[in-house]
Amino acid sequence: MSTFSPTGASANSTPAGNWQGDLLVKLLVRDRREKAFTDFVESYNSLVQKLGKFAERNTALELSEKSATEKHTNLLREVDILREQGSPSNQKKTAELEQQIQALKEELADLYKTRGQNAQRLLDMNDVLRSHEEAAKKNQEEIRRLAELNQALSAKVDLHPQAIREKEVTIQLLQDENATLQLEIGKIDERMKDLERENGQLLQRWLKKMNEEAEKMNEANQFYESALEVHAKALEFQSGVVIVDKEFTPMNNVPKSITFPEAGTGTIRTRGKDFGPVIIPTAVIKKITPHDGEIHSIASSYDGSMFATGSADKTIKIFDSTTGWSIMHVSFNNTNEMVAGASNDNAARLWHLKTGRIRLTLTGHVGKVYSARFNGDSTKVITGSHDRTIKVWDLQKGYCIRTIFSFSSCNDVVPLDDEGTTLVSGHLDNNLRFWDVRSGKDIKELTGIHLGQITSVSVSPDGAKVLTNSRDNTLKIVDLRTYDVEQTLHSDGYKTGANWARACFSPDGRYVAAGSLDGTIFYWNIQKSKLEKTTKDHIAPICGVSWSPRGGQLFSADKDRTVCIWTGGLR
Amino acid sequence: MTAPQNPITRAIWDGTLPIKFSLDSAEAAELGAKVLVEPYFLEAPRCSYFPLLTSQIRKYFVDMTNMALNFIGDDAEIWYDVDGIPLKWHYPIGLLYDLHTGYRPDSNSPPPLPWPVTVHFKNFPIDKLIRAQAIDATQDFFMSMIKEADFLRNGSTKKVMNLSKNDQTQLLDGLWSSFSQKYRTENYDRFWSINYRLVTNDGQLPKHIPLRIYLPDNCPVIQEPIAPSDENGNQLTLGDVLHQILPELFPSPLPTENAFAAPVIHGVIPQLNIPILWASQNLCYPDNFLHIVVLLET
Repeated sequence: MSTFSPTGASANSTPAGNWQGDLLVKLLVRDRREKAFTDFVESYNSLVQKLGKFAERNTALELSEKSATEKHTNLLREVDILREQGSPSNQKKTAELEQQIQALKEELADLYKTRGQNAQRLLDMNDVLRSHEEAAKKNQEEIRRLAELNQALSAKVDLHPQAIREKEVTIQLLQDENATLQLEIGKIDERMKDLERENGQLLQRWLKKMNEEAEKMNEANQFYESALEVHAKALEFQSGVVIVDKEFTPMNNVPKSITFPEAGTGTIRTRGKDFGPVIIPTAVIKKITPHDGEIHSIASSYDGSMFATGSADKTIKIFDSTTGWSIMHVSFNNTNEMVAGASNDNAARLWHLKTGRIRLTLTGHVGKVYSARFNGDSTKVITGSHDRTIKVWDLQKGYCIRTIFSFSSCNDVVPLDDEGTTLVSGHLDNNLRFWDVRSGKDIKELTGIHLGQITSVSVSPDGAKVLTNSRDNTLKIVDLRTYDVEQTLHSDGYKTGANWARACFSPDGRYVAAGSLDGTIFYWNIQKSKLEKTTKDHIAPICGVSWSPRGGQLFSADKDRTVCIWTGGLR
Repeated sequence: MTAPQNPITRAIWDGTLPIKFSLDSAEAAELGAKVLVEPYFLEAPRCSYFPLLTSQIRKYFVDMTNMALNFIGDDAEIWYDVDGIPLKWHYPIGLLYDLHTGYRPDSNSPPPLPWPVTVHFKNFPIDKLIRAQAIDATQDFFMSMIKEADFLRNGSTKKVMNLSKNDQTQLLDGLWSSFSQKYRTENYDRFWSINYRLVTNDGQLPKHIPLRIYLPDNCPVIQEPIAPSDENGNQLTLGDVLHQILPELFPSPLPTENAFAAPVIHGVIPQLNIPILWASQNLCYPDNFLHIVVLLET
């Protein structure tokens, strides 16, 4: 059938049986059987749940119990501790006490340690003491030894006074000798002083005599002057001249210039009155070649009786101007006639003419000494040098009393007055300088007067003019009062022969003579300011001319070692 | 559609079994039980499955016994056995009872109740049972049985698949929450409101009847397609079906006096003249299958 609703209504009607009802019954039976335990199971489950809850509570209680017991045991423990150790304050006290004990124990330990250390030190000290004692013993021995030595030495010392006494005796003797000798010397000095005084007196007397003679001569000369002028052109002189050498001890130097000391005392230059008639010398009386080396300088003595030449052969030769023979004027020249030579070895030397020996050597310059001059009374020498200084030497003291810095190398220096307080110098830098010796300062510097180095300076006989010779081939005359160049002398053909070529005034101051490069000697008349005359004999350059104070003679030297003596004047 | 107030289906739904769960003693010792753990009694519905009981059993054995047992494994590790035979967890409890106890309801001997089941926490027998993730696997299996039933009926699972999510939920909830006595009626209504449609097939004659026959002694399960009516259009009865499938045991479709085999469904021996179709609709288990246990004459 097609109806199959799950409801059992339609099925009930089938005749197959009440299988549904049957089924239901069977199911009910089944249920009765199987659901019999339901109540049991329910109760069981509720019991199980309760059990579970109880179990939880139990565990919780157990836990709390455990914690409670723990706390309990802790408290008990604390109580025990407290009982044992007392309250915390007691504990603290005990702790402190224990600390103190600890500290004290440590102290004790330290003390033991220090005790031990001290014992050790004691032992060390004993050792040190022992060693010191030994050292002391040794020292004592040393002392004993030294005492013995001392004794020996003192014994020796005792012997010394004796020796000293003997020595004193000898000293005494020597002193006595010395005293007697000193007395002798004193006496001799006295004698010498007396002699010197006598000498001075004699000199004065002689000078007075000479002055008288000179005055007479001056008067005579004035007449001669006028007469001579007339004859001046035509005159030739001849006279025999004999030359004699006078050699000096050789020296290690080359004299650059020679000067004669002025024999006179007094402030007025007496040279002016001393001369003979001044005529330009034109004739060569004599020609000599006295030197082995180049002649550098020639000078005549103040009285004109001699002239000297200095040469590169390191000799100074003195010649007699008339005869030429060497002379030893012992008595005539009783004033200390000396010759000063200035030399290339940076020294000036003074020779005593009598003995021909070196009297004095003046060293101090550091450059070549080109010029050495005596002052008026021969007490000082003035040297001019290429070390740019001018030195003033005191002859009595024997050393340099003043050094003047002269800015430029000095070629020639001349004192302007007798004491030598003023100097004039000619220099490499073309300048003429005037110096005050006392202050050492320059008074005046004349620049621009020359265009070449000044080779010589000479003072006119009347002391009012200065003649300068220069390498610019001119000669200038400078007025000393105004410092003006009065005259310039030059000429064609006149060329300065050497860096130290000397020109000079005539003794009356009227003429100027200079030697030239070619050997010609030029004479200028100052008053007329023109060339007067030339004379030629030399072949080589002339290194110097010197007019004899007697007036009639001129000495010239050239580089070729030739010396000529010229004379002129009325025969 | 409200479920029909069929007392038979109601009675089947309400069927319960008292089960006594005991712990294997050796295992208990292994798991650290110091004292004897009492067995646990449960009243389990015939239509339910064992995995649904696992959590409660576990709770008792592990939690309530004061942590006597050290079990921290998964629920899936727990398995049950009766007399050494592991219980297939995907069978309904009623079926397992009928099958394993072999109790003929028409006999006079007392039934083996409560049913003693041993609970195991270890040594899951992988060769005999399928390990599963407890409830989810059970649910999936249940649904697959329903689909199979539908397929057998209609040749396709369209009907089941077309159930709305809500209906499916009703179905499942209805079954899974069946444990609580309080909500039994509610759940019955919920379940049968949906199941009614499935089992009645919306008035259509099913192609085949979804049924399975279980023989004792680990015989393989018999499942044969049985049409509800024969070629003549007559409705087949239960006897006809049994005779058809097991001719040796059921020589004739009609009940005889000295039959040596009897079918047991839900713990009862039905008459053989029940139309199979009606049986499949009213006597089926929740999974829409008619599970018939054939018990032999003792």
